[in-house]
Amino acid sequence: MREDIVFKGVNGKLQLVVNNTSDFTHVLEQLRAKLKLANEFFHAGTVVKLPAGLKLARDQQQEIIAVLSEHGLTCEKTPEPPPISPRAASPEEVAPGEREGYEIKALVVNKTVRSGQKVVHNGSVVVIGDVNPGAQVVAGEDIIIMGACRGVAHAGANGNEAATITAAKILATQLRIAGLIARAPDKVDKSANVEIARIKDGTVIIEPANR
Amino acid sequence: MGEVIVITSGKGGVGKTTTTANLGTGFALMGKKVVLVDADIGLRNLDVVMGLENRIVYDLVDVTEGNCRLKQALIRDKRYETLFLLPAAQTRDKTAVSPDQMEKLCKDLAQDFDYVVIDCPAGIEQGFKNAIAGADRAIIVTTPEVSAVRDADRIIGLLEAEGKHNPKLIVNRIRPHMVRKGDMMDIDDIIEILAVDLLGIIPEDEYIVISTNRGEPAVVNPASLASTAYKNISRRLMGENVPLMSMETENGFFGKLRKFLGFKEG
Repeated sequence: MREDIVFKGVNGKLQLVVNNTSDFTHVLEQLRAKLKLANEFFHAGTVVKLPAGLKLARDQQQEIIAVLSEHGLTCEKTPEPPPISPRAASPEEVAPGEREGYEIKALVVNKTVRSGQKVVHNGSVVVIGDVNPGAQVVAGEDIIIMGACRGVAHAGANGNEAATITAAKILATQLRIAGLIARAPDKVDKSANVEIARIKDGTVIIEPANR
Repeated sequence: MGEVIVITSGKGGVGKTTTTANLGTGFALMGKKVVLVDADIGLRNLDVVMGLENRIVYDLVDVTEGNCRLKQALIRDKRYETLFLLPAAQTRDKTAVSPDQMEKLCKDLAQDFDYVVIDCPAGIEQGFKNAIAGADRAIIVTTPEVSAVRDADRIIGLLEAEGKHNPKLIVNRIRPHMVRKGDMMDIDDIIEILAVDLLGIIPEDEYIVISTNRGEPAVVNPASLASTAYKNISRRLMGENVPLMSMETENGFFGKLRKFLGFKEG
């Protein structure tokens, strides 16, 4: 049997990852079985987060919460739209078709994203600061950087080709939009204007944002 | 209660140990009671730079493991009465000490000293975590090279994650004539990327090599340019308002640099 549910440790919290494509009754069955097996492993009162990638109806979510609480696990309530914490999601959790069900709010990062740091969010990401070399920003939708973008920015990570990357200075080593990757030319001429990167005719182009 | 300062960089070879030795000696020159802690367990060399290698009996690991009292492991400098060194163990590795032990050690040292200056090992692993555990403030050393600046950026991020905000920056080994020709990153470029306060700049100085080999910190020699720069940084750390020194006669470069002083005081 394929595993339709997985418990993942994210930032010291447990996160429940559910395969969206499988039948919900199967999911519930598996969840019960898994909790029963691992009864020792889960301490009562452990908080389990339901990820935003979970495309479930409200009553289905309720059912999962009920099953979890039978085993003494508290579920972090996800209001609608479900919030996504800054670093919680990993890239593979940026699920396709996110935009259909509900509106995802933008994530505002109120500092410079430094080398080695990674921001992942299903919606748009707004960085108030720079994105430095060696840093990564991955967004399901648009990326807006108030400072310089010197790291790697990936907009429309879920395949959204209409996503854009806007920055006060685009000095990025790599820009990725949906499935396309653009590498900076080896000699970059510095532009004084705010620039925007988008897909046009199948390639990533950068142009002044005020056009 | 003294202040615990960690000197770190991420990248190796940018001058952490030299900076630790010179800032510490600079504090001692001004009559402060200082202890230098070598946190680079397994690759110690602060003792060599200080010329105190032959006096080591006990080391940092002996203290944390309870083989000796803290006071027994402290080596008094041969030139300055108020300067001490706590050497690292050479036969062990970074896992011999935990961050908690380092934190306690720093607290104990801060009781007796005005300044505790920690020489952090290169890298971002256990040794780094140990070194920063007990620090009140952090000083990042970088050189005007893209690789060193990137590592410094990573370190600043890691320090922030540990709740240690507002580290100060020292740019080491600047060569003014290369900066002027555009062959070396200038201070503006570095500050723009790192977005932290500049504490000082150290010019490239051959005397550093001589002083390291002699086991005598450069600040002892007033004729050296780097010596003046280090002394100025020590004074700034003590709260004095010292302008950035002039490394050359032309004003253009310095007009630019002076503006960072305003940046620093602000």
